Amino acid sequence: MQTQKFTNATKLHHMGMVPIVAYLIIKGQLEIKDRKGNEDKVLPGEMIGLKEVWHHQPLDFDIDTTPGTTLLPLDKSTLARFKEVLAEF
Amino acid sequence: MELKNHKLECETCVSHLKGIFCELSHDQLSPITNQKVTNIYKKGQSLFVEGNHPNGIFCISTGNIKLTEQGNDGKETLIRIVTKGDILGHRSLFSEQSYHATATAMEDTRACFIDKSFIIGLIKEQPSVALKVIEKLSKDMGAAEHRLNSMHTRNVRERLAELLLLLKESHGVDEGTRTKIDLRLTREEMSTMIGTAPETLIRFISEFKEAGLIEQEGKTIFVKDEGKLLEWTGCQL
Repeated sequence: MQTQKFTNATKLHHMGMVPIVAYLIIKGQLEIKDRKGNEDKVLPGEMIGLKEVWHHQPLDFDIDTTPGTTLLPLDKSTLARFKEVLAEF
Repeated sequence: MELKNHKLECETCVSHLKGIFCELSHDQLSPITNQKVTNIYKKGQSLFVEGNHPNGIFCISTGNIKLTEQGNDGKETLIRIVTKGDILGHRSLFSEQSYHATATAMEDTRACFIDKSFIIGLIKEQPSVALKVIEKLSKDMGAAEHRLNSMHTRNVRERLAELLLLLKESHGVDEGTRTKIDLRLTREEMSTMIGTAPETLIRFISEFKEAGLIEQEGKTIFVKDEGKLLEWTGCQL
């Protein structure tokens, strides 16, 4: 796993799609907007998309990065490995 | 035709036999079906953005996707069109570089995402997949070198003739006396593909129509005389 730095604001996810990876926010923030136009932020230490990636479900938010954001992407293979390791405890 | 956003079995995909997984058996395809993420991208939605980091590859089931790069002047150049059976993002993934272009759906497009860890594991287990990826990369490189050569050695008329023949081959629908290029491209997009201004492109399209090489209905172009188009490219393709 490698962190990813975003120097510019960029679209990460379109509302209604199944996310291709979940994100753990390391630095900066993500801006999310729902169908009603309500806005919120996802801050460092928080995650988004975990349940949706695992269960192949749509995530009903538009997600954009802000400049200077650092994220840790968590794909399905990584989540599967976590699950295997945690099962041993 | 409205596409439904449910997870698509690889084996039943219309593009299955065109893609990098075409030589895998049912048992070998099942794990891919379970692992992948399937989405339908509406026209204008991006699969990835130039400068972002690759997390895996996209396998295109249906639809068309344009790859565009932004120049220093802010203008977008359409560098390639990706269609069903193609894969996207493989070059950035294996070179561990950021995406060099933005991938945008040109119409409702179904694409499946397979994450990096899985695809690399698959390549190690299934040599046929590795060979198909190498074949794809080789063809992409050849096409890029040919295009670079065309930009230097062919004039605009010849480049337009070549582009129309390539689009006919990749997106042509036979209608008997003519072939429909089943792709909606704006004049600006076409002009960037051959490195000219839209006004120049429009002028040459009119010339091609007057010469009977093509017909146009709205934004759709039909190839009428492939032989003469080939002559107008300046050399054999």
